[in-house]
Amino acid sequence: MGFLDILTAKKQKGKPELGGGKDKASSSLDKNLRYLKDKLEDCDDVIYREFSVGSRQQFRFALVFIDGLIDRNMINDDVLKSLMLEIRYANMKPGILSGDVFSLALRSALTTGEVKEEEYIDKSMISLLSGDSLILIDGYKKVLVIGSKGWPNRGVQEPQTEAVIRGSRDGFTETMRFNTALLRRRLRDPNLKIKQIKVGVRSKTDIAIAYMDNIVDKNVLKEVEKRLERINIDAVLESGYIEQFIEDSWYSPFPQIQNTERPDRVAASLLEGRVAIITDNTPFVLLVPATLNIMFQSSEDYYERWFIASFIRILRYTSAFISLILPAVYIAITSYHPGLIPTDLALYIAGTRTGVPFPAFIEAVVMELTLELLREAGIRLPGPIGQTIGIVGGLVIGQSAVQAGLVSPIMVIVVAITAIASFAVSSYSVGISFRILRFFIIILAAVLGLYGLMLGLLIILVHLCSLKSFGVSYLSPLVGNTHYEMGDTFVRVPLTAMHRRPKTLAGANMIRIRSNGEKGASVGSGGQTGGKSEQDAETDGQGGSGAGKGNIESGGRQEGGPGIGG
Amino acid sequence: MDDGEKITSNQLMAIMISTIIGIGILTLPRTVTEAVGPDGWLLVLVGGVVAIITSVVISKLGLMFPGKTMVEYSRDITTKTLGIIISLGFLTYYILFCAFEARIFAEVTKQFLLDRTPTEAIVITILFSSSYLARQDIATVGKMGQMMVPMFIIPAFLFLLPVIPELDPTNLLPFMRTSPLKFLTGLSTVVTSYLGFELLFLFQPFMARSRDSAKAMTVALTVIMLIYMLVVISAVFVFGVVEVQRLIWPTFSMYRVIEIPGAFIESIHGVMMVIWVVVVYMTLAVLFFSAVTILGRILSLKKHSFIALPLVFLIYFLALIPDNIPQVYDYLDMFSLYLGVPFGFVLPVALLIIAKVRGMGKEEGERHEKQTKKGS
Repeated sequence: MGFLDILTAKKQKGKPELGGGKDKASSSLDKNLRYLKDKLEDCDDVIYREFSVGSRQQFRFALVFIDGLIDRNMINDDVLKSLMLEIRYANMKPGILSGDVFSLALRSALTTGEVKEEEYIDKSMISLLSGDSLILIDGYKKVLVIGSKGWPNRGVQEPQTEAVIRGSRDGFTETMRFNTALLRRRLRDPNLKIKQIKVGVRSKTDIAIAYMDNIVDKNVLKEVEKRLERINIDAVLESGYIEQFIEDSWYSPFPQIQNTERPDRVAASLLEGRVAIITDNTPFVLLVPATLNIMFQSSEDYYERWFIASFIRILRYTSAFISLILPAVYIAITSYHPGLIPTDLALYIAGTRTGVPFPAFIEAVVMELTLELLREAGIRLPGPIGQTIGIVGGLVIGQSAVQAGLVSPIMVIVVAITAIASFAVSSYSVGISFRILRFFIIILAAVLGLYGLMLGLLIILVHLCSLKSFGVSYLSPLVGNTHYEMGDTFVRVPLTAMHRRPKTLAGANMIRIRSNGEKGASVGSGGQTGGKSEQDAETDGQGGSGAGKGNIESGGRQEGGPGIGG
Repeated sequence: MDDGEKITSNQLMAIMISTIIGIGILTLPRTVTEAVGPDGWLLVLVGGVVAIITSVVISKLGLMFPGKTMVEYSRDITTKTLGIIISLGFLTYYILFCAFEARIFAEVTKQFLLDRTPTEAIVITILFSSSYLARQDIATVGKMGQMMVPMFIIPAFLFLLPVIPELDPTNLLPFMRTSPLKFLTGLSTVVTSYLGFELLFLFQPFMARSRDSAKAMTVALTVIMLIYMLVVISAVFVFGVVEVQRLIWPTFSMYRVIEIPGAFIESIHGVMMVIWVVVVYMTLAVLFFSAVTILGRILSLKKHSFIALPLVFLIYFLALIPDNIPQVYDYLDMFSLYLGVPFGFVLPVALLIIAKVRGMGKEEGERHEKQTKKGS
């Protein structure tokens, strides 16, 4: 945080008000239009449509919108048509009407769902720029802001980064409103709060903070709001900007904020008491606080039965460990301690290395770097060429390098296993941290053997122990008095045994499963149970859809059907 | 959310176990057997009880002056100058302790793991890496202890299992044949292997519930005592009383003879070396942390992480003063007897007696209670 303080402290004073609110609208239509045209000079995507309303066309109106950002059908049918045609059939004696055409338009003529009055012209201009349409009426000091957002979007698709075998297939999209809707579909609970703020002086990006009001730890929530408010940047183009501004330690290789494309995962996290930060224009939602353990969880772990889930968890932790130390162990043992492995194996390894002109360290670093290159090249290239890279990499590096005697075959195996292991880590960002730290450990092992390897691991562990994410220890629940939560770490205990929310994350309402028949067991906002709406401190207010049985959060309880907006 | 800069009593236990078990465990079977022959395990037991009693004394002292470490309350109990002298004495003690720890670690690692690496390189690397933990706050040290203790206790126990077939219980006989005088002299040596427990005077104020400190210390010291007894008994079982005395590091030699049938690894001494690095790292880092904290408190600094780096070089030069292993152990014996025993055992008891005689602590404690009540 110290670094962030230095960065933001000086700028704190001059932080401009993002929402506008300086210039009031004038009663003259021409003046208002001139204001807008002045400000939006050379913005050719703004469309001004002036028209007249009334039986004798006595009221001058103007419609302003941005082409491409609005729903044209809606503007044509529900705004223009209503105002220009249908209003004529209404009882429109000039004398009666003249005083109140504004409220007539607002209350009776406009057949759209979302209309607001706005006093300030600069504020309404910001609405205009974010996709609303403005109706200006001559003689009135107010602007009608019509919620007419509608732009081409990708639709709700399957997430690219967190594919699962079992689980919902809908992922977040670039439009924040769809994303909040995906959450609301999973948690029909009045306690799901979605607070919106704007960040970015120029981009004025919408950011929503979502949390469960009666579960969240209020200190964490306050901290999130405080840190978000402190951001003073020109534009927020992706949630990564937000992440880097609000994280605890910028110098740590480990991500302290989780990002996800999966609505079910966010819903489950909210039910654990965490806070979601949804940024417009990106499908990646941030979740705080994050711990290392959370990074190793996958939403699928809770949908599969606990045996499978636990096995996969252990596998994931093991693979992270392998990806961190395997090359280093190979280097340490071959160059320093061949006596630690069986003599036959040591001799065999030495045999394969005969003729290899490089020490094991150079061999390992070159191979690891080649692998990273292949990976990076594979991501950037379009699909078909990406496969070519795979074949070239596999053949050239796997076979030819060995045949040419430049690399020992065992080194290739080590590098390959390391690569596979590093991809088995469920979180991409943590996988990458382990990959980077691997080089650090390789260097230590090359200099000091197994001792260096251990020193490297200890230093990483000390760093992990000192790391915090929004006040929560990064290594919890492995450290601290949290024995209960150990059931969701290396193993995942059966859902029926996960009675409580994690103590390190949630702030209140710790019980999440009640046994059959107990009071409040099926209370919630779930549609099917039609449960009582007791939302006191006792009830958790979670969507209960089980057949009268105690239910658990998992986030994956959607009733099917396509996602909205698709 | 976490409890800020506090440690739980589990974490205190972990810190104590990981700190006290250090270089001493390597030579323990030899030193106790040299002192009292086959009754060594009994000596370890009695030594443990002495350490537990002293730690209860320290815990009492800490409760008399809540929120204060030894650096502060030694000034209150004696005088300001004397208190600073005592604190400086402790500082010297921990710096020297670190130096011995680093040097012996380097010698052992050189012998068993890295035979061609210079001692200097091993000393400086372990010092630098442990200074990293010494720079952190107490909560990090607590978490680190909590993570590490299971990592070395469980494997150390597991690897003792293959020793069972080689055991010869007759090696423990004859029982109780040492004279009481010899036993008492032996006791002064064996208590030094429990040194490190006196760190409670530094850690107690950081506990979330400092009342539990005596209980936590008792548990921690009992665990350590059991581990020590197990090591002594198995070393004597394996080698016999005479042979144990001829080995420099009998504990390692014991693990060296163990072979796991059908295992992938040739001998488990490689794995033991890995655990050894962890054990010493934790001991050294906590001692280092204590030295840094004491110095910071003497100088009343708000942040004392920056002291760690200069101390690395001081400890490095101190660690390299002895020329060879026997000299290291000569110095270590002198150090334990003339610094360890007075600071670890005599001083806490003396301070408690002085405090009681002067009738101190009581009103201090009440005042503190009032303040906390007001605060809440």
